[in-house]
Amino acid sequence: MSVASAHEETPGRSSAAMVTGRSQAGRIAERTVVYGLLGLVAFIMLFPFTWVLSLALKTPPQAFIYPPALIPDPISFENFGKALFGPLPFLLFFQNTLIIAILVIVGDLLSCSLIAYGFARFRFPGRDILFLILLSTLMVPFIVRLVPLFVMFQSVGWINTFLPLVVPAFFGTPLFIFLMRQFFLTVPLELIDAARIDGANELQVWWRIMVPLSKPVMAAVAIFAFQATWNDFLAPLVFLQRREVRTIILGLYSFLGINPDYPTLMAATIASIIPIVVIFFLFQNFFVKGITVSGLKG
Amino acid sequence: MARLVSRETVWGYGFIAPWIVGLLLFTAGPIVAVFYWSFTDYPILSAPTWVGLKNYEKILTGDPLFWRSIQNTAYYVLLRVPLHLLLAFVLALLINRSIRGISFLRTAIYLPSVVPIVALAVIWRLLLDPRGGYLNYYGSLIGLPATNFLTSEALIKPAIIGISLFQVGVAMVIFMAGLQAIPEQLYEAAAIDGASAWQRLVNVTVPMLTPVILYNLIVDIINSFQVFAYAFILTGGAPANAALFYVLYIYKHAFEFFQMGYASALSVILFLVILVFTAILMSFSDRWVQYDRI
Amino acid sequence: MDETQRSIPRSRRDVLRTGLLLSVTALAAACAPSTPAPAKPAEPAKPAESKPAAPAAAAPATAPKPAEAAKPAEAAKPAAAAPAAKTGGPTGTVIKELGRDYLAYPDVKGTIQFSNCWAASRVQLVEDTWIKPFQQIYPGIKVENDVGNCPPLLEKQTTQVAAGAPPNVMMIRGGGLAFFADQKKIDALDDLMARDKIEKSWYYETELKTRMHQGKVYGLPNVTGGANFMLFYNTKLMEKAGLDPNKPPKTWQDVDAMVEPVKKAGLLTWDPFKANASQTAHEIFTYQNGGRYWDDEVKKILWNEPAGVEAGEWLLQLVKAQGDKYENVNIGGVRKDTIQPQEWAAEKYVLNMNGSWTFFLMKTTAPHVQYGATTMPTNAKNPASKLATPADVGWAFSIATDAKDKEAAWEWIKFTTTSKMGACKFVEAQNRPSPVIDCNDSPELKGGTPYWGVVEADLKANVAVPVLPIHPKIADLMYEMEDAFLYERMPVKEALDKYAADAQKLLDDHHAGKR
Repeated sequence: MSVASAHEETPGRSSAAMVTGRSQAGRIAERTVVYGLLGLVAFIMLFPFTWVLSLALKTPPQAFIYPPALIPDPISFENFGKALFGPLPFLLFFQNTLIIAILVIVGDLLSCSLIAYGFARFRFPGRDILFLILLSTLMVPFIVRLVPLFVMFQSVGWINTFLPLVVPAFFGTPLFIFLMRQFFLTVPLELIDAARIDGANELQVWWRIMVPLSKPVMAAVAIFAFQATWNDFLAPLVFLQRREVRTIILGLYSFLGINPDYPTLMAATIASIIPIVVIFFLFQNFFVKGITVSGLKG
Repeated sequence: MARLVSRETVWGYGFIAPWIVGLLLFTAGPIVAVFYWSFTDYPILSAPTWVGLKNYEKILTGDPLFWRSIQNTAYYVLLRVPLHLLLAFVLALLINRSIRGISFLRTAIYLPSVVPIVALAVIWRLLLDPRGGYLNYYGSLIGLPATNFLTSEALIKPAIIGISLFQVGVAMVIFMAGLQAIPEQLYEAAAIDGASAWQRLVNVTVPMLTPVILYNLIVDIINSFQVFAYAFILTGGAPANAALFYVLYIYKHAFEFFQMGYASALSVILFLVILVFTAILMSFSDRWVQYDRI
Repeated sequence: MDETQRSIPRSRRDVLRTGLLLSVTALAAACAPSTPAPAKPAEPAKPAESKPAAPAAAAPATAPKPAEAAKPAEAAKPAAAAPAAKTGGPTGTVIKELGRDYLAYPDVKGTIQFSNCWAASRVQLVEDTWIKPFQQIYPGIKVENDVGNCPPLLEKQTTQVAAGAPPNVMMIRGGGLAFFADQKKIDALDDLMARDKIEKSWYYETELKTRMHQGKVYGLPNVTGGANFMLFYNTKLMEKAGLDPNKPPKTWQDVDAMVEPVKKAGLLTWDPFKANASQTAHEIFTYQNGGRYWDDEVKKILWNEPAGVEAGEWLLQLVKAQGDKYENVNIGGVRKDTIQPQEWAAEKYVLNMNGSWTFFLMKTTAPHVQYGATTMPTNAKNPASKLATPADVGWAFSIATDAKDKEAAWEWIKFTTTSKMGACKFVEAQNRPSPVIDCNDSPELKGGTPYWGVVEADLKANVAVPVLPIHPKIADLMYEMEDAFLYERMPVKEALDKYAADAQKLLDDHHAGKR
């Protein structure tokens, strides 16, 4: 069975397909539909970005000539130059954001999986109420929590350091805790019981069973945590005031100013999303060619 | 040997301890502050003065824009959440295979989710420009009249919903991860039993995905109730308050009128509404979500 | 199962290892001295060399600048040795080259957190015309340019002030200024102005008035709040419509006469309802029509008087004549904003009501557009109608009450808003008028645009509109009111009356001490 599922086209469907003997024509029809629909959606998604790229490559006087030309003439990279090497140290912001993001990912993966395991696989008094409290912390808009948070961090001298952005991640992020809890709840009890019978303590169960089985969701959380840090605006705006510690998104928004410099803003946007796109492209396999080590296989 | 507290309780609390500590350190303080301020008049720059229920009174009896913002937000939530989940689900199903070019398609569909929401809003503002924007330009090429989405009371909310759907990638990825966790055996067994593709979808995929569906549903509701960024950047609530969403209204009171007390009261009401929704959903979830529960 | 099991520990170990490595690196990097001074261009030890680079952004001639700029650095040194007589505080020196007997205290030390939103293309200008020259004169003061974009600026400043850690120099305006002053979180500057002999007469009266609250000055202006409303007209489009590009409309009736020919040419005349972020078009035109929005004490709402009603009705019929509904006439973009250069650049609209910054912005954003500028049209049917543009807000630099290094903050404000270098050069490079009357005598400014006469006329016609700390709420009502008759939910007079009553209640409550 494991052999068959190794390299077929659709891991979940292959053996089934072999069993049901799907016809060649059926498969071609299925693929056309899939490509067609996905292609259409992809086209719609990319449409705004063709324009973003187009604007980023135009010289400022070309930017707003009507009718708008999709392909700039001449194609110029000066906006990228202005964005990355202009008066603001964009590359430094890049470095700062990277440091914060990595720390946040580590903190989130560690803390959220521990906490989620607690909520998922243990019965203890007050568990469901605490979980509801967890969810309810998501229901107070950040803008009203901003002032007291700032006052708090100000009083311990954490302003202008990365700490307000990084440390909370080591205590769990409710959104990710919730997500992991949902996944952990689908891990079959037999596995956990088997490990416990084998004498593993709870931490070992967590490390040997839950974590490996959650690779897809861990990957998802890693990507989301990275993205959330990369794009977080309000917190860095208020907590990171000195230029040396700012993040990339603050650099991006400085191009908005009183009268926005749209071509440079577009170039800066493109530059700032490239890392995430690359990471997603490389790591998306975690979701599909799943390394689901499932003890149930074979 | 009788134990006062069961081993399971100890371990349970042990695992969630980091969250509890974090809650007390970082989250509880600000939230309690908001609740407290809702009973005060607090111009941020000077100390709050206690006014009891006056803010709530004013909200519920003397503030027509409060009801307007609820209406706008409800419209958004009721339309967007189902559309969003359905789209994410269908896309995840289609995209969960390894045919050629799928990596590229996946990245393309995920791309808008990666862009900071404020940049996206700016981009859309330019795209939707009725005279010079690309959308209307291409529309004019095929004969459509120039439509001004941002100043049309009727079109502004659908436009914002449409724009928000561009970031369907996140929910899609979560569904993808969920699909991946479904053991192949179930499909094989179903196929052996002679189930068609549709039957496999309905009897294997959907039930196994219910934990993740619940997640996306609840998170989407919580987030949709707090829709803010697009309306703020694109129109500031206009036209004629058709895009005045609840959190935008809170923001105005906090940082334009400097009435943090009133803004806090509004936040408390929002909190209660979302809490009730979520609590109901969670308690009913046992009926349709399939975990291997203890 | 065996195979997979064996491979698991290895891959997990790998993940662990990489993870640890990454986090250790990250931690190390994070703990590294957080003073990684970004590679800034070397501080100009030789002022003469750096100056030519500075006005590269400015159109006007650059030749006179190096010579002029070199002097303050040199003059400062010998002058410092001979301090003029001073009253208390650090010893001051007069630096004549900076104009108007600029009184400086070069011994002042401290750090300035300059919280502002001169972002995007203006960052370099701030560096060149403000920061660098300033640091030569005040070697003991360090300037941190805390620049961001404008919309969240007030929010950020509010949060900082609330937490007791405000930036010492804040760029602020209008309702924000009034509110902060009311809450006693920014300092009144009158005493400092008197000490350092800064005369109120140096500024246009309106400019100073809009930065005052209850009779005291709470911030010094660095750009004009006035010269916000001039009429720009696209000459090419006028020709296309068969109109004489040398005869722009001077009256409301002239504008009305343009509508038909412009329509025939497939164009639109004007979206008159885009004024700016805190003033409605109706306000502008009411003042033009000889009316007012409220009295000088802000005690009584006056916008529903006949002048206001006439203005509203004229505006509405202009929209309907062009396209029947406002949606068909609207130029796009955010409602509470001026017409942006890229919106006008599509060349579908002939007229554009905008401010003095338009010259600079059109040049950089849409140089293909040919246009002219004139003063706003008046109402020929109303003998009381005259050129009068209301100004209620304008950017100012203020000192936060709870901040540190306030002496340094004052030196910065003084430099950037009164000295010839600071007050003049920054705006000059943008072809904008300065709030300091003297600065506008510059030949570069006058030569920078052929419409300088229009700008001056506009500045002279400025009317200061006082605002209360509750102005944001009043402004909201103003926009709602305009929406009400613009989208034809109520007739003009009814809308004006209804919202006048609502606003009057707010004013009454405020004056009675309630909130």
